[in-house]
Amino acid sequence: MNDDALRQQWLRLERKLDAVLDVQAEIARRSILEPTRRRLHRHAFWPAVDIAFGLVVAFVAGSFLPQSLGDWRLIGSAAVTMAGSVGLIVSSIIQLNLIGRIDWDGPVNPMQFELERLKIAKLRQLKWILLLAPLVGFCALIASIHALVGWIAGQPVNVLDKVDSTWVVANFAFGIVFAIFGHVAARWITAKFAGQGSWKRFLDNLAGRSLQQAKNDLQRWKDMTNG
Amino acid sequence: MATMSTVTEQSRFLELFGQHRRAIMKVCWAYGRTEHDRDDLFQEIVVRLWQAFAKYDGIRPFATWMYRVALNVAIDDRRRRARRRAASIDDAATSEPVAPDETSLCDLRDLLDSLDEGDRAILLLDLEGQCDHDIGDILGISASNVGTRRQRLKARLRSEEFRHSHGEQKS
Repeated sequence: MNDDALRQQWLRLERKLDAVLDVQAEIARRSILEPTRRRLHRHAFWPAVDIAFGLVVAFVAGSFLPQSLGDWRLIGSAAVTMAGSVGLIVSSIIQLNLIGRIDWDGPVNPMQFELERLKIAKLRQLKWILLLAPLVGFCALIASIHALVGWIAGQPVNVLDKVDSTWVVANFAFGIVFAIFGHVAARWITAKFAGQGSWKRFLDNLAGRSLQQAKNDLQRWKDMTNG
Repeated sequence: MATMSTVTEQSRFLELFGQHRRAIMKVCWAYGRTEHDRDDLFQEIVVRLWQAFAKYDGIRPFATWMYRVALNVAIDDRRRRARRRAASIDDAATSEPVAPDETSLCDLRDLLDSLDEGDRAILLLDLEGQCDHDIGDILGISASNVGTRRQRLKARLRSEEFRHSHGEQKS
């Protein structure tokens, strides 16, 4: 397409837009006059939820630690749950810090650079949540069941006394192996079977592909600055 | 007193907005894939503009400030929609058919879709008649950088290679 043809089409677009200008002006008028419509903090919503969730879990796991002294399985579960929630809080604070730098009326290139960094922080957090889910999930399950049974009985009850230690160790081991090799397995599965939709997205997040794509996008904005 | 000042601000904003709404709609058209996307994007841009208006100092032209907000919101919106579309199994089924009055603009639409976000912004601002200096101010890069990228972009558009690969993309 040459330059003249491009400009001709652009003018045609202008004529087409004339027809909807009045409607859009009314939308604009309503948008600014309706104070209930607030989407400014859309980016900040989930990190804030994650911090609140992480604080609750860290508090519960922390208060659970003194009760578990003497049983390595309970101490390990509480410690891993607490470490997971602290990690969630830290990564969410990093995101909120990046969100604080977002300036919608700033120059496009630096602003998009910051948004890509935010996206990378979110994807990195998601990747580790997925990789650590079996380990932290299992530990949180043990800790919560233990706390719940103790609360119902009105005194500390070690539910793990009824459970075979091998089963606990096997779950710990699976969680650790998945955290280390989960992304390799995800890459292998996506290479063998082309998935679709949410399943593909899940595997891409787990395998680190989404993260790599975001890094490439970040590099493109960086290149734009350098020319 | 505060209410009076808000009313004055609203009137001032609506007046400036009225003068530039066509440009905002073109940004929406360039970055929104469907009519629904564009309507949503338009509202999002208007809300952001209004929320950021208190910070508008009037030193730089309103158009420059407005393009910054509009492009930032539009690119972010496209990024978000791309993520959602990637997750949607029924993407093809949910995408809207091309409206009859859009068929004459298909080449332009395809061309814009084939460019990355940065080049699309440069082409849009170029078609809007912005000079290199203003484009640089809006995008936050040097005017010479804009000039180089603009020339590169036009050379790419003219080249047979691009037309060929563009044709392949379409098919």
